[in-house]
Amino acid sequence: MKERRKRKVTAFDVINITVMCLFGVVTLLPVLQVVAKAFSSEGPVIAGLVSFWPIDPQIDTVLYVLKKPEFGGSFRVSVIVTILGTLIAMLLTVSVAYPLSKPKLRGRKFFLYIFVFVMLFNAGMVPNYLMYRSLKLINTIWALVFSGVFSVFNMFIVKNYFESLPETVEEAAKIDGASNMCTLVQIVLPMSLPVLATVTLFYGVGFWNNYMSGVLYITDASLKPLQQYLYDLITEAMNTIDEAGNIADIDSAMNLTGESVRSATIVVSTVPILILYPFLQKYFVKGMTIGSVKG
Amino acid sequence: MKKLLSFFLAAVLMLSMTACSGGVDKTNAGKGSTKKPVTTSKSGKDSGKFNESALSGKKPELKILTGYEAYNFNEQPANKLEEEMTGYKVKWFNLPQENADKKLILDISGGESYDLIMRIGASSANQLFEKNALQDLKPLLDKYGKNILAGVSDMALQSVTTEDGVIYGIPHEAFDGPQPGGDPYGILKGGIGFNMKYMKELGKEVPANLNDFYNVLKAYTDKTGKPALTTMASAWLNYVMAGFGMGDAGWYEVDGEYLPRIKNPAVVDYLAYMQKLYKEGLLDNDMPINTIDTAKEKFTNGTALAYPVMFWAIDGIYEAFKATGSDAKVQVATFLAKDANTKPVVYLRQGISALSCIPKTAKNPEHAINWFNIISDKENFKKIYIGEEGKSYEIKDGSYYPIFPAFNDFTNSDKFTGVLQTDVAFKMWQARARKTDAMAEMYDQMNSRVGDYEVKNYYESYASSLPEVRDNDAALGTMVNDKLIQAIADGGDPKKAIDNIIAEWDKTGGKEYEAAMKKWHDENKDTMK
Amino acid sequence: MSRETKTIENVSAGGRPQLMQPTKKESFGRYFFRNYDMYLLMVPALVFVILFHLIPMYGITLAFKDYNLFAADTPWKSIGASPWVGFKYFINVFARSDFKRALTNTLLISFYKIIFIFPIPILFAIFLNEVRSVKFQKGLQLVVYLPHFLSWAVVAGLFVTLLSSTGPVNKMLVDLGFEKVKFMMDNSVFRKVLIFSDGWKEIGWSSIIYFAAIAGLDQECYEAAVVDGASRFQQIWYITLPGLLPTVVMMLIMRMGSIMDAGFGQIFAMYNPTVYDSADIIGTYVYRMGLGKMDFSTGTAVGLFNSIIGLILVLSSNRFAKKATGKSIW
Repeated sequence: MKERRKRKVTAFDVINITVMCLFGVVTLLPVLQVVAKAFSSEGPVIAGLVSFWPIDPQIDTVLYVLKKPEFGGSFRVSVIVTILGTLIAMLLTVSVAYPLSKPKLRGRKFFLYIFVFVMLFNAGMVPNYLMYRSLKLINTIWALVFSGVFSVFNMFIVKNYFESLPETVEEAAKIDGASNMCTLVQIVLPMSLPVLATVTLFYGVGFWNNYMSGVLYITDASLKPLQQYLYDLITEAMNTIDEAGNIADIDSAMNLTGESVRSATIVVSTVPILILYPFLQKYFVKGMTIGSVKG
Repeated sequence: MKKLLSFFLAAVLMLSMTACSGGVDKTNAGKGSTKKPVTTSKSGKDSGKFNESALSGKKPELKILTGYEAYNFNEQPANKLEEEMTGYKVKWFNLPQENADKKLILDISGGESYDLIMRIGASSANQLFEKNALQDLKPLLDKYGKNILAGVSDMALQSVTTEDGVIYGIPHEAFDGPQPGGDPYGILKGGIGFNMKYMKELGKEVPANLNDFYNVLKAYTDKTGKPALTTMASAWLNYVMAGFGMGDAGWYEVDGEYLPRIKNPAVVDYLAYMQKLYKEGLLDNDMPINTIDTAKEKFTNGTALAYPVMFWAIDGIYEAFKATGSDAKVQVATFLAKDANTKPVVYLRQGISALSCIPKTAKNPEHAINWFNIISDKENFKKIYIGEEGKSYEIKDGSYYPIFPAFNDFTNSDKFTGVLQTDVAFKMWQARARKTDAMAEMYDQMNSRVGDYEVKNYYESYASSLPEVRDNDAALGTMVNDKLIQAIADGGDPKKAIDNIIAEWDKTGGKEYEAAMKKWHDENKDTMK
Repeated sequence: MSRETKTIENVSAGGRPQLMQPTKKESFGRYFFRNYDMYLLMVPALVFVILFHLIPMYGITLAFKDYNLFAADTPWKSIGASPWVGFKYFINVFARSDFKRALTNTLLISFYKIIFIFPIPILFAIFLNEVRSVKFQKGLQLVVYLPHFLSWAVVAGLFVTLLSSTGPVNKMLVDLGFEKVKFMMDNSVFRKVLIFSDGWKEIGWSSIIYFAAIAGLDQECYEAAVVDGASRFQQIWYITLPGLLPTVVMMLIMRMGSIMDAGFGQIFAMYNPTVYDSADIIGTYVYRMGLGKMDFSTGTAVGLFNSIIGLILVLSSNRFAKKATGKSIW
């Protein structure tokens, strides 16, 4: 690391950083617009005047969203589901990925094929629903947890990372008489922090962003996850046709949330999960894993 | 030790899963409990089957399932009000916005024991009934539902009654306007809004017929080079269609034949007219990709001259005008006439907007009807819907006006109401239409010329529960709308485009749909005027 | 590879029979008993998969049945009690006139996305990794992953505003002396918009796994390379890329499994009737076809069709990867 840092700035660095910055700007600007709309007054938003900076700045809209009981309730549901779900998910994933990463494990192929099959085939809405109903999970928080608690995709990521670890360390531990579990917890996991951080992030974001399980398994409004609430607000504004023909629709159309409220809801419901990233990010920065274990 | 630990870990996980799977419920599902007698008797007076004491004792908490709304029903002021009014505690459940029909049928077939399913689409209700999942309400209504029966029109009740006399739902009638023959004031809720600042500069009046409309748009586009009319992506601009004798109705009687809109001969002329607007750039060429937001944006930031305005959108529009530094006002051309010598036509829906029913799995059907009956009492309806006179609303010159801030409690109370004669309910509804001064002004402006219109009632929503209709209506409607947008944008021969759409219509289920509608129309022609 | 020989060495050296390595002629029972903790570890996930994936798989028969939820006393039993109809629902979809167009669009859009979008997160991770400032790395990672959190409905709105005929992009084109482009309404352009917006939204998110993979690479190699005077490109070529290969192969193989989903959420939010010719995919087509119908079988049938194609592609690409690179996911 130190040697690299000392080197001169080359043409490569200049071009590289320039390209990266450009890339960053192109990605950031449209996102900024959403944020700017959340903090602008209704008038400029409707007229489409807001580009990347709030016009007529105010925080009333954001406060209004935060105070809504529906938002608060859904927020709590999503936080609980995300934390609980990610914890269980990580336990499940790591514990099955480790044995499967051992090429000599008997029956490994059989299990792997099952998982590949499960990854590609989905029974569909009805049987899944019926299973949840049989297990009495409908309208419980567990329906939201279980519907995202195991991902074969993530399992493969962890498994492949385990496989890529140099086996010498592990073998050495075992020669010292360490058991499988001991090796996993004391040797393998500390070496796998980057992938564990990645998969934690994938699960966390997966739980946070999941809205389909709410649609399928929840009719109790107090258990509606935040993303479903948000998604409903956005699509409701798009589905309601302007030329609403009848009064039942008109009453709903009259109370539709405006674009600035929608933007504010997007912002306040996304920030919490964004915070997760910087916490996990330190594990993505080069050069802290293998070296530290060995050191 | 470590092995023990891993065993423990696995065991805990397994336990936590199997714990939830205990007691798989397979007995109480599907056909539902048989405890409640379900009668299919033709006689209307067999209420003796019900125990007189069905309502005595402690009032249970009712589980009510209803449609999607953005708010939580349990937290609404109307819920509290009703609890005090009826003595029943209600736990509300909501279907999702997406896949609501499928979720409903899964929940009910799975044996979920809702006491009442409130305000679901007529086709979903009918489907549940066909599958034998709904109770006959006739005996219940006869015994506990005096107010309900009084609040429902004969035609609506008849449409949910089978040949055997079974009533499978309580119809919530649409109150878009008065019943046939009533005072039409208030039926107009939207129109094409014009930026009057621009109109003044052009020296034009708000147009009333197709020709004038074209000339105004043309004058603006010629002068500015910008599109004059913007709208969200939709092929059917009902204010323009009115000039061709069509409107919100999906079916028309043409020369004694009952035809879907796409087969109405006038649709070719309509398409040609829209194509002309599009080709000459008078109609925003981004129309196929516009959303409500983008179209409104173009109108309020001064790009476009005209945009379909609903009366309740006016406050936002004025606010946006203000943000752009314009003090423009909006005036509205509602339904356009064919020419200066013709009366403009407006189609007014008469029919059912939703049904409430009781599944066979309900635990407290008598209480549910009793509850519904209480909230359907005329005074109670009013109390739930708009509150008390002098407190949350007032009547000026026979028109209802809201009083704020008390009226805020009634923002979402419309979904909590029972049933009431539509004429009465329609009048009360107008308090909602006058929530702000600008809204009231716009609403009254729109309706100021209502006497000049020829009002035609249409009844097709009574047929929405026919299997052929519910299977084909949405998919065919989308297909027609999509292809018509394509035709408007590509500007090809209108006759050919319509023929193509009709061919696709016939091929993908339109024939069965049409046959069913024609049969239904022949049978009911005389009652629909 | 060397793994085998090493383990055998260890067995002989350590005396204690090595883990996982079956000793010759050992019965499965004995082997299982010796490694029972490894199998035990798999139990929770297996129970979960059986409960929530394998048992419900019974319902896949719905693709060949006219499902009547009330055919028996529970919906579960109703699946069995509903009548078989053979390939009716498949034919219903496949025989429609627009199906060929939808299939072609699905495959084309999917392939374009794999060709143009799949490699970019890898390159992005590699080159961002070459930026020296760790703060810059962290900051940019955070920025580019933001759009992943906007739903397609929102992103579609942003792109419509940007690309409409009066939007900023067209204004710029006109200022520079070009013709206006109907980005959202021109069949020859719209697919490019789809690919671009997909890239814009997901590149940052997809690169996370490559950041993690790079972080897991052995630092000593780089240090040694620097000592040997290797250039930056040589380091990338000889250390980073080979180190990333297993991850890339794995991601590509799994990506092949979802080839029949060209991005329903995205296309549904962004397309419009004027670009059906280039953008109507199977998902959107079946969605419009099934509007308002209480039909559970069509969806199951199409899903089954997509899964079978995905399975074939995953199996074959896994085999191919094993032959070509020595890496595979199982």
